[in-house]
Amino acid sequence: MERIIEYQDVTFRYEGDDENHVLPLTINGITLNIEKGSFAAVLGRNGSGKSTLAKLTNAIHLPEDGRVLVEGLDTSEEKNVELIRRKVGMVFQNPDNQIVATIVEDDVAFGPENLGIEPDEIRRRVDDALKAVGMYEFRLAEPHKLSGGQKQRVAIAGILAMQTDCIVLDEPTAMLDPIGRREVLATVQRLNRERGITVLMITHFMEEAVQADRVIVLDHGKVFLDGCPRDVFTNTQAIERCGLTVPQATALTRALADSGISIRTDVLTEEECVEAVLKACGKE
Amino acid sequence: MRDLTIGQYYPGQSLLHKTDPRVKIILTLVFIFIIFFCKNFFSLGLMVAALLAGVLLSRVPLKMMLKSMRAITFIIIITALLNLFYSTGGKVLVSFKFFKITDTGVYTAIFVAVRIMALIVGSTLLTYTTTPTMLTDAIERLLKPLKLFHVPVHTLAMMMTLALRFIPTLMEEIDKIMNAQKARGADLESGGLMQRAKALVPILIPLFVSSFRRAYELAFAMECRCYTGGEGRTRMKQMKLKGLDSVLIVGCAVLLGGVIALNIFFKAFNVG
Amino acid sequence: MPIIRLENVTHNYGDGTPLCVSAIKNINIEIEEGELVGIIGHTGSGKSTLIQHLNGLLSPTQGRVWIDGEDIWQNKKNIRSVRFKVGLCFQYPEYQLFEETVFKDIAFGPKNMKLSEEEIKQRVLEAAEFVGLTPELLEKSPFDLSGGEKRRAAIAGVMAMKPKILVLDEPTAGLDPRGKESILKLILRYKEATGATVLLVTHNMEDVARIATKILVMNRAQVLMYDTVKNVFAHSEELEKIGLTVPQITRVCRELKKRGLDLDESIYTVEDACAALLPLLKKGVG
Repeated sequence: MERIIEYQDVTFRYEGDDENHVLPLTINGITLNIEKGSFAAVLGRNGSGKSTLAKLTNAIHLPEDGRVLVEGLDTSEEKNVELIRRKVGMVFQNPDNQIVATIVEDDVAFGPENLGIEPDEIRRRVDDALKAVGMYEFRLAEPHKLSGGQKQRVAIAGILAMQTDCIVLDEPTAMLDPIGRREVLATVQRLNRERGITVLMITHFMEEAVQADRVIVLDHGKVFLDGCPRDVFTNTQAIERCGLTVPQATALTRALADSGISIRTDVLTEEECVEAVLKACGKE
Repeated sequence: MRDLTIGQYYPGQSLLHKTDPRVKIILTLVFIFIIFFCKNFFSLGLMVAALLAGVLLSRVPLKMMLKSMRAITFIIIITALLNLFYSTGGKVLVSFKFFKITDTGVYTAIFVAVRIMALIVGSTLLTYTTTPTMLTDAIERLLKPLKLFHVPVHTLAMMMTLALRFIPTLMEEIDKIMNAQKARGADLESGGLMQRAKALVPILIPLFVSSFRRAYELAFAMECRCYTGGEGRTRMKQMKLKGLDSVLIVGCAVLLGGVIALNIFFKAFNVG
Repeated sequence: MPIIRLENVTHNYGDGTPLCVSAIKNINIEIEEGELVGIIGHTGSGKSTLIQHLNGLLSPTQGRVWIDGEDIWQNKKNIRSVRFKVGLCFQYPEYQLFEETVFKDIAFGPKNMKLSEEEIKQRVLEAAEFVGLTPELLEKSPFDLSGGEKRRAAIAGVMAMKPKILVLDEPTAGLDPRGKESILKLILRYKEATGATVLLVTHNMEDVARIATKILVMNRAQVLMYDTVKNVFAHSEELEKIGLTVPQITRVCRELKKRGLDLDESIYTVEDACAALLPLLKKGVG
């Protein structure tokens, strides 16, 4: 599979207040490839380096050591920065602090306008992007009157209109209520499936990571677990060791197995859990 | 506080709403100029009539127009009174002690009051029919020639847009911080001037801190969307002069001519 | 006597205009002393309007609010003293920090109560201990703390007023599982040490299920249910109908019951589910 983002032995640290005070490495030697068209979730505790990993993708941060490549372009080369930002769009945590214009459609147009696209083409892209995230009927609304989930969808549309290949979302749902979270997750999933857009989503909600193709768990700036959701989340011990939780369905079958019941323990969803329990009962 | 709207816009589809915002801004300026040019009630009357036509054309309810006047009623009254008492000449109507009210005074007072009201309605008509975004856009385009003199026109316009975008957000934030501090027993309502000023500290500091954080994050978000300033940017919404706009420009020229004619014709009735 | 009593409370925004909406409508509720009540409901259901009535930040358009047997609007001038009795900690409280040091910030509430220097100091130290902030941290600027520490410092600022009723709006928002856990623990610690009544507004059903004694469900400006955790989760389908998510484990058990297992329908923790299933499974196997 073609790679869209490559981290090659990357380290990164934030600058301290003064020269004598050197902060520890936030990213401590990460090597990772993100495949084109995939939906990867990055999970980890606060301070595990997951947000920093996102900001390394489009040259907001530059690695101290190692390289980050986006479609082969090195982020630390000045001349690549604009090209990279045309390929990788970013959605941030706080929905209020990324909307620029006083009208929804003007905000979505902001990116393409910066790229110098022709007006007619911008109009076409803006309408298309707003439809794709289900916000077309709000195109003339004022952003501050929207809900958190709606604002995040506008932010996503703003990236779509730039026609990037990849969207990096840095905890896009952390400040939203459950309904907003569902809206955003469904939108992201749809864009990944229907438009083949690569998604790299940083989150600390295990329920969201379960929906991805691949889950990368960071701990202390290193990749701690990496695999499909089933492999990652059924590794209950490891998940709990790095301060995260597993789905309750998984926890239940694990607890039953630990009590001596012979039951499948690699369940991830409610349905699987129900089936596993029924099977263990001999009801199936 | 949340109800506060800056540059109030009254949504609509009228001819005035559709007029090019650049034309509207220039015509408003011209209109203000002509109003000051009016010398007597006849020419002023012509302008008021034109203004009423504009209001009707905009389909903004008259009530909304009067609302915009409420805030400055005080100023109108004061100015009128000053003119009433300080004008000299003409027939004395009433007099007691130091005060003398003359017929010239009465005329001038009315004339000035009507003039101010016309000015307010004229400029409100602009903000009622033009969204803040359109206004800033138009200002940016009108000021473009200043770029030759190294005036950062685009940056200024962008700052205006961002200010408009964040005013409601910050208002909401002030509300939240005030409530949070009140919940800890902050007393914002009593005490002398110094005490009240001091009571603002727990509100202003968090507000500044969060504004800086917002500005920082916003700058990142804008950079990520390839913003590098005005150079090489295009705009989705284009502004092109249409037939309608030329009609308005011609109309305005006719008004100017009319006012000059009336000023000369009724010279004898000039006020002030 | 209930410590909180709301009698027919209605609050309208934009009263007297055509845009008038009732954020809460005819709320009648009695909360007994010492309960830990989870308040749930989706955004716009009236939760935050409700809690702002408890400490007099909002006054009811209609109806009365009784705290500790007193009608709080009886004497309007005294409304500030109600805020010391009912400590309200808003969502993302770390954004209200403003003082030079953490100590001074926590002391803001007690100072407004006009306590003696001695008493203030004691209150601050006590509150810092509740939330697990070490004495060295107290001398730092609040802006130099980590995210989690800021949150705890802000909560300490409310606890330092030693409110008899502690109301927290989404205290765990934005935290990772361990951060959440530690916040919930310190809330329990405060409750145990002071015997306070605690109201916890949250979207997280799993938190509520674990620590609350009762749940209050708000929907469309009204109280839909106010009952024990068990009884509320027994209506899990109803909760889902109004757009709330119930714990995954509750849904699993509900489905198992439908498929013929003899299970209690109000299970809401993994431990309970495990305990209930074990005998059934052992029987099945045996």
